[in-house]
Amino acid sequence: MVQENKTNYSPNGIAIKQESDILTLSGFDVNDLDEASFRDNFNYFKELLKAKKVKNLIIDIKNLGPGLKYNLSFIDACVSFCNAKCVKVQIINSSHDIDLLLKELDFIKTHTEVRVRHKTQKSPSALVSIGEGAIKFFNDIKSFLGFTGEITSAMIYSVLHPRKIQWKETLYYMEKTGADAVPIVFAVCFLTGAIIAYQGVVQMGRFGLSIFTSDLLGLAMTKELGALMTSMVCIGRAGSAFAAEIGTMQVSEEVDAMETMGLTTSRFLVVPKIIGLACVMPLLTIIADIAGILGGSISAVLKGGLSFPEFFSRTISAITFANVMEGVSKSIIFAILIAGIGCLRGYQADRDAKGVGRAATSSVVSGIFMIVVADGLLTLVFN
Amino acid sequence: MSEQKEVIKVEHLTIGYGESVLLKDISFSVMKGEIFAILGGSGSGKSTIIKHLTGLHKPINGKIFINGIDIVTADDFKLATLRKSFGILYQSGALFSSLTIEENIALPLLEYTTFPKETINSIAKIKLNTVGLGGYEKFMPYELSGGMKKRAALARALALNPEILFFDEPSAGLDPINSAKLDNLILKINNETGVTIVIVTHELESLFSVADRVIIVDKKCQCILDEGEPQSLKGNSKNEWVRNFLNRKYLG
Ligand SMILES: Nc1ncnc2c1ncn2[C@@H]1O[C@H](COP(=O)(O)OP(=O)(O)O)[C@@H](O)[C@H]1O
Ligand SMILES: [Mg+2]
Repeated sequence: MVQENKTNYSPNGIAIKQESDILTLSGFDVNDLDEASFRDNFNYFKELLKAKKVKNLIIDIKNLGPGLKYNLSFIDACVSFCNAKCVKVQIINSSHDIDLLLKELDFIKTHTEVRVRHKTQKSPSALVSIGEGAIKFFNDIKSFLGFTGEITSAMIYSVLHPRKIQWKETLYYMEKTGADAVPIVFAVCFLTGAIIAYQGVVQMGRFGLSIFTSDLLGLAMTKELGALMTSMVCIGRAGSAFAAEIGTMQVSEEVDAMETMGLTTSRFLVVPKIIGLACVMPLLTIIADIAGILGGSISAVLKGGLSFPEFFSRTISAITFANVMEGVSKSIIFAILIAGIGCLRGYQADRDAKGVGRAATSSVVSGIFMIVVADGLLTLVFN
Repeated sequence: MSEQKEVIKVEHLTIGYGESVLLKDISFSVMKGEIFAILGGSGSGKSTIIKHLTGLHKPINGKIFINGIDIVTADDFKLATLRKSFGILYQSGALFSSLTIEENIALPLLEYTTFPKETINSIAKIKLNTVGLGGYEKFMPYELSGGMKKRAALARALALNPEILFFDEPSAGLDPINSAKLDNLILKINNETGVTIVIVTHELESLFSVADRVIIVDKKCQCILDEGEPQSLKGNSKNEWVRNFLNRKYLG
């Protein structure tokens, strides 16, 4: 192991000297590393840095020629590693040639940048974080409002010029987000209904009121849960797919291509998705209502000792047409929100592969948030 | 060139994203009917120039005139009208992946013309023949090879008989044979229709075979290193780096 104030040689001849918390690397003029020795040396260096409390690294590059490529990248790797570990780096004895080369490689610049970034990362004052968060939040709202305006004008244009609506696309999205979602919506709501009815039967059964489970279930499904559960499924299936689709089109420059061709992308990409989803979500909601009541009837009959005819006749007399319409009209608003958020997040996607994934994730997160908030507001309005 | 009409005129243009400037105070003009190349290392801002010329981004500073219209201050309506006379071919082709090749080409026609469906289909067919893709009308973009995708995108760019064609690294990702094919196609279209072409490239091969004039932009100086005919720059550019680069002497 390295001892203090002594020069040691790493596996391949690079001299490493340690004085208190200063580590000095030298001997880069001897010969170039190769792939294997690069790895050995670098591992050795990393272990040293981890084992000892090194605060400063001095790299002596006397006589390092521009030809010694592996030595150069070894130094680069060491510097990066030190930056990550907050060790200060100093390069000494560099010649004019090497200076130019390092500048050419953006060596100095990138590494100082890394260090600066690291500093700010280390101590983000609470006020700064709050401020940055607030700015981000308001920018988000700003772009959301701008986007809403754009979509509204595109929708109005489409209503006035129905010939220009992309009907083929709209039908495609109706199939993808509607027909294909029926099984999962049915399954989710069937189980939801069963669980709620089970709780109803158990809790109310203690007072001999299990028959009222049918009222509870019918109203909860039609007024709230049908639309809400359908929304959750559609956020996961449709909203994220919309975000990913538009995000991918951003990456492959298709959105740019459309804009340059003078085609309003909101009209081509967003309107069909909104119309498609707004057409199918009410239908899905009705399916969800039915599935929930069916699921609930199973619980009520098996656990509550009711009979099917009893349960259904009671449920049907409890629900009014207005109750069903409340859920259905909510679902139309939810559909517009889900499709809109998905598309917005797609437009905001960074232009790389990760950006598409992030857009999809964030469309789901903001979608759920928006739906819950909107549901609260709408419930107030309807009652 | 007999008539020296400036189609694009760029004056003291400074461009970048947000705070970071890519190119500072650059000026150049593109004449009617010529093939004008923009050469430069990757990340030097070539695609960004195209985005500004087509009005997708607003510059930090400076003016851009297209056919005498200042597109920096032009309103959306004027810009939209102007864009109908642009055709553009992106690095990736950027075909709309949910439409067939024919529908891709028909899209701008449906949007801007009142031709009946049969006419639009036959125009699409003619444009596809021009680029050597007759018979691929009903294919989806993912069923075509890279070179074919680029040519299909070119057919789409040609759909409205544009006045200016923009190419952003058309031969990126193509093998030498396909990229030479594309170069020939570009020359042919320029000869037959007299369309003005602005082409971003980093391939010397295509530069020497197609370009009438070239500007070379550089990331470090954020400026235009030199401007002129490729062949004459090769012999006697005032800039040593440009001379070396065009003679393939650049190391690294
Ligand atoms: N939308 C954008 N937002 C921020 N920076 C961008 C954007 N597009 C490109 N850049 C940056 O601008 C620089 C130049 O990009 P570009 O014009 O595409 O270069 P080129 O086409 O010459 O390779 C790159 O460093 C790139 O990271
Ligand atoms: Mg580019």
